[in-house]
Amino acid sequence: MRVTESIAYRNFLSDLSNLNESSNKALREISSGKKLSSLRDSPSGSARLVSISDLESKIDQYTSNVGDSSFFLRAADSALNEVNNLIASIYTRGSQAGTETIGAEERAVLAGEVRSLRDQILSLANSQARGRYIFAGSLVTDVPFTIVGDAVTYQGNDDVNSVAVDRGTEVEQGVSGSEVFDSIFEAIEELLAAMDGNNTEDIQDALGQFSNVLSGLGQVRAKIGTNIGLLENIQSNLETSKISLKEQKSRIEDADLAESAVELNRIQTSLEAAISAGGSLLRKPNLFDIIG
Amino acid sequence: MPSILDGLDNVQQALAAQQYALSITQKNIANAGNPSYTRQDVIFTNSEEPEVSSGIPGIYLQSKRNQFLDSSISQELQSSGGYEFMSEALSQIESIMKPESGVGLQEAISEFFGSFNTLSSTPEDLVARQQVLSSAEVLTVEFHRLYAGLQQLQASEDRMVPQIVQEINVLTAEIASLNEKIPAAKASQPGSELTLRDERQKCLEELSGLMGIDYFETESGSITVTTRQGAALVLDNTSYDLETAPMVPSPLTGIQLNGTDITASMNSGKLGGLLRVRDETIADCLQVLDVMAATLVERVNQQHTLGSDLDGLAGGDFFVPFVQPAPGSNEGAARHMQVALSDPRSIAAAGAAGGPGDNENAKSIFAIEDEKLFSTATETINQFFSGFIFRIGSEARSAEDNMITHNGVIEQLMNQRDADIGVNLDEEAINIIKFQKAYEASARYANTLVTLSDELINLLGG
Repeated sequence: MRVTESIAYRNFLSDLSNLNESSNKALREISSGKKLSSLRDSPSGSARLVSISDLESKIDQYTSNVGDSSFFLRAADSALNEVNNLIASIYTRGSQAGTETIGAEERAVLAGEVRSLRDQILSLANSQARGRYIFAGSLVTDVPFTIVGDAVTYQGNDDVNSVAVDRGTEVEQGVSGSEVFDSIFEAIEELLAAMDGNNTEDIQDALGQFSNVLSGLGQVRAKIGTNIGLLENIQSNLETSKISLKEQKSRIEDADLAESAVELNRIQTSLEAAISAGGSLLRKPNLFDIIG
Repeated sequence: MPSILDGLDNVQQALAAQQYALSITQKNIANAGNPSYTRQDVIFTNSEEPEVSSGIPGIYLQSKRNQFLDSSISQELQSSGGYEFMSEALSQIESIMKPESGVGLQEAISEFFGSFNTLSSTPEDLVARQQVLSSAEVLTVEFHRLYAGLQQLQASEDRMVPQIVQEINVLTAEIASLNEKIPAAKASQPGSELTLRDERQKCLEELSGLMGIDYFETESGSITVTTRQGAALVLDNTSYDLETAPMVPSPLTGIQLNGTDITASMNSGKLGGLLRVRDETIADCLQVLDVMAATLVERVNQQHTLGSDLDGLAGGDFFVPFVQPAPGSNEGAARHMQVALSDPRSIAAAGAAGGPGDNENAKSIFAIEDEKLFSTATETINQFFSGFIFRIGSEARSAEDNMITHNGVIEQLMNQRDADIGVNLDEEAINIIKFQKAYEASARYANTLVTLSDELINLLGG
């Protein structure tokens, strides 16, 4: 091909501008640490990042829900653990009162003790965590259990919230107050009536219900324990997912710094070579130098 | 039989011819760096009918443009001009859609629905409720920001339309005026029209960068320029100006030629690229935002009214309801999106008649994020938005790739054209030597003739 001056300059300039652009890109990758600086750098990667960012945000919410649910379940569990011990104490007092060896006066003292233990249970049934009555169903702002004489009435409902803690997984955040406490308070009320009536046979009958009460409570606590365990598993799954999402995100948008640095080095070498070749192009002798 | 003095006449002609040839060589050298210049070759001939007479018998100028290359370059310039503009404009859209800092729309959407998810865990908590209101506020602000950013870009592009049209009109007027000057120059000083012709080609190429054109040379040597659809822009020495006028009802600027609107047919050159971005890409983006906003407002409101608030009252509208300005049109939904609630207690997190701690409706609103509400019930909001992001990214990528490809082709074609008609300094140096030697030889011949005639005179005088 016949090469004219314009061709030589045009080619030189275009090569130089290409090299400058590549060097600029490599430099930008190194300084920002990102290989994806605009959507066009990877349209499908950018679209994927949209979903990943949504998933990341969901994982944060799920993690926060796991924390909340776990908190409320633990609060319920620790309250029910105390309730369990208090029922055991009541049973002991009841058993003492149920023997023929003690008199009416002592029986009345024991009844007073049972009432005071019952009041502790009542206060646990009305316990609050973060301002919420945890055994009130969804009527969380009102005191769930009220007492008239020895009769305890449940004012809450059976609406127990379940909360999303992972995609497609919901966990119940608590237990219904009536499910746990109704039978407990009934049994205690009956026991107190028998103790007040000073009738050992009735006391024995009333005590007979306590094994059912305790096993019912045990089942509820087991359910709570299962949920707490489930939440712990979910928590660690969420952490794993979060790390894996971070990795996916990084694969899409982060620059491989070592690679970019090597690339930059390569481009700069080419750039230097091109410039020095360009210099010789500018000084290229032509016939005029000789015939001058 | 010729006399000795006839020979001197020949010498004079020969000297003039070499001088002329040298002046052309000088012109070539002077224009070695001028990309639109066509090399001129001096032809010594009697028989042919070459291009241009020099005014000296037997001497002609040859300067042939390669019309095929010229028109290919013009075509490529039209494509590259369009893609170059699109690529730049799209990079602005990209930076609006994917901000370097602050929340993007996707984050705002995730946060908004996420706040209901968090609320479902503690529905009675006023802090969680306040969080829902703030994230809804952030979401509306994000819609406003994107919409306004895109609209500003559209408006600033619109303001460029009259400027480009002005540039186009200047160029077509220049071509028409050159159409007139070229025959006149040819008549008054043969050879001087060649530079004007190169000048005209340069105008054609600048025009090609601005808009899609077709052109051809008539037998009389003038260039007719038309739009791609064949409407005349330059006929002989008359040019037809493009005009701008608002495209009613749209406030955007339309382009007219002889009273006919030709906006929709402009699709290459800088102007074509600009109109495509303004009328297709940005319009599409604005529509996507409006669809997203309108759908969200409607669906969230509908679900929200099914629940009951912290005080057991039925839920009202969460967002200010959007009323379509015309059936099927969501225009304005993103721009006017606004949260209707101000009291965190009025968020209907509970199901109908649910207690203050009930979370049924909060969960239902959270679940809206995964409902297939878009693209005729096939996509969730997330899928819809990521499809949109993909579309913009691909469009930007393909505009840039196309620009690079067409620029590469232009470079090759220009090299090819230069190889054909450009100036090579070595060749010109050889020409100088050639013409100088011929000049010296003619001068020596004149000298010989003078010596001969001197001798003859001496002989007669003796």
